[in-house]
Amino acid sequence: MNVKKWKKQFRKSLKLCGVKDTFAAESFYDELIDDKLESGDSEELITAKLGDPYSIAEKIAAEESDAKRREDNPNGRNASRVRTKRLSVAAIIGYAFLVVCIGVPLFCAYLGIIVAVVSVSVAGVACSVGGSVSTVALFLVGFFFNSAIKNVLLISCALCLTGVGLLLFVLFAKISALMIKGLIGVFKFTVNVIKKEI
Amino acid sequence: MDSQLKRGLLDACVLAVLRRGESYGYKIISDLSEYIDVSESTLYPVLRRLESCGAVKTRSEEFNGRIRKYYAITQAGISKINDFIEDMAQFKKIESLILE
Repeated sequence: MNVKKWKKQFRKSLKLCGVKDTFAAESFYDELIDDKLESGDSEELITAKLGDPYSIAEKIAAEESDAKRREDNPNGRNASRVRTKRLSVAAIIGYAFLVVCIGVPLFCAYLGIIVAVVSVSVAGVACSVGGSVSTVALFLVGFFFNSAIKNVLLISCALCLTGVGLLLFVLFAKISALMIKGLIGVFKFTVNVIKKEI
Repeated sequence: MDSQLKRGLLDACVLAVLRRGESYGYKIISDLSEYIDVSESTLYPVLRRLESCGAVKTRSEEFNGRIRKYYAITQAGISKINDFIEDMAQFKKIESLILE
């Protein structure tokens, strides 16, 4: 994992664990990572040594809870370490219900949009290929069958078709990539959260 | 090791390093690594705790185009080390009782 990805996951984990002072934690780790990079460590080595961002965020959240408890009860003894709040069975059932009722239809709709966007992208390729073939064909044989002016107009239309096709392909291919990336990100994040909660 | 005991020990170790002079996160870990294995995730809560109880004070300074946070021990921090030394004397007595 590279440093950028680790930091991104760490930021998400801090929010997920309910850490209040996320800025201080992020600044501390940013500084530490920069120092390690300057000392010659590779990004992979640094992130491997730092470990799982979620575990670190959990530790910080637990320490914040402890600190708050010490503030509330300065004379308290035998204060045991507080773990971050875990989901109860009722909450898990609630979430499962939400996933089935809202998550699945949303997922299907999202998947449908991805298919539509990919289709437009493929249509763009087809349009572009068709336009190119028409241009070449008209250029080679069109003058024998059409008048010169008519043929120039037809070639211009075919070129336009190629351009529009290419534009559609580039635009919608990028949108597809972004949507698929987003879907994978959401899936990974959900799996990570479920794994931690279980 | 008991978590409370370890916490106290780590606090004392960090304060002892800072007694040599002000320092920053990466250097504190490097200095401590000669004596005790401390990870980054362990040091951060320790520094936060020491800062919140006034045992250390901080200042930020620009270094190589970025901000670096420096930690320095305060009088409260020195008192904390002295308390720890007194506690250690008691621990030694208890240790001899247990080992009898």
